[in-house]
Amino acid sequence: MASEQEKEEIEIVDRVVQGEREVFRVLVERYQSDVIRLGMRFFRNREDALDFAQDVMVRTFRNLAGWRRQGRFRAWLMRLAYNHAVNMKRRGNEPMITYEDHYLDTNFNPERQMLQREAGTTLLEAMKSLPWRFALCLDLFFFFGMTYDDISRVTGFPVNTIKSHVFRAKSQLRSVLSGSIAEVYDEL
Amino acid sequence: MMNCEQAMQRVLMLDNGQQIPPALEKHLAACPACRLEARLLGVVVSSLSAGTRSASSDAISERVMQAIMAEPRWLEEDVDNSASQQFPHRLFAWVVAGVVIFSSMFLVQYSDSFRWLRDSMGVMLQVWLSVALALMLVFFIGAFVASHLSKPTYASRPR
Repeated sequence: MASEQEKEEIEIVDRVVQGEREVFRVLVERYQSDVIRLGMRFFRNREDALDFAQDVMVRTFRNLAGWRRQGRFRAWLMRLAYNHAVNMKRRGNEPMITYEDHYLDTNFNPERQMLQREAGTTLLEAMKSLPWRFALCLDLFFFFGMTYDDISRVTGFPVNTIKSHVFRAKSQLRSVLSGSIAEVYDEL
Repeated sequence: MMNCEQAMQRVLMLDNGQQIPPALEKHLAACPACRLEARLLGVVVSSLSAGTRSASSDAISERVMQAIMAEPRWLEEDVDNSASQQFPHRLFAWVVAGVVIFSSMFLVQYSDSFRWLRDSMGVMLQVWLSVALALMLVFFIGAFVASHLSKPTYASRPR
């Protein structure tokens, strides 16, 4: 069943397809950070990532009439971005995904930030040991907060493959966090 | 009731934003150790994506909107090729349906089940079958055309 946001996005897309181009700004503002971050994974350079994101958004606009309203708009947009990034990289060299240490939310207290840092480091280590496509699945799950289904739509991997990689990564997280349980007991 | 290890396996399999299944919830309600571990894992995993989501402050919306406003007309590219990949399958279904309709109208006059019709109508059976065939083909072609008309988009309007 479609959520309120999904219904709103279908309505926005319908309006844009009917000619109200300005309404597309809502979708751009909602998802630009996702696309920029994905661009950073592939291009490692902020300017290139911004150019990439702009290109993806314009392509998304041009293809809007082709969105079949199956699944979330975000998953469709991210698939366009992912395919575009992979194609751009193929023209030059092999895709090389790198991750920045920008996953800390400074709104959390120091204990929570420490946990987050530990978790982030554990995940980045887990990603390093995987081929880049599988590493990207973990990235999309943990750092983009995407669901198994949406990741499958973006990358084309079967849901069970994604689940098993996420399961292994979470198991590693679990063992790292188990030492911290006593410290956060009162907080939780 | 599941044991602690089974419960934690289920916790590790949870999707982002997924509701906790009732059986797991029952175990977590009864087991403080698992509840704490599951809670901690959930908090950390959700905070990772929340942290990165708020981290990006770059805005490209103005650049994108300028580019979009400068677009001469709606140009539908074939970047998302899922529709085009599905099209041959749908076309195949239409062709099969058409062949079934067409052949059934021809073959019906040779079926023993309709001997009584042939006996009662004689030569007129051919005439009525032709009329029925023509009508069915008109409906079939009409349905095919109607279901393959593209939605009116900005491109189809005069500027």
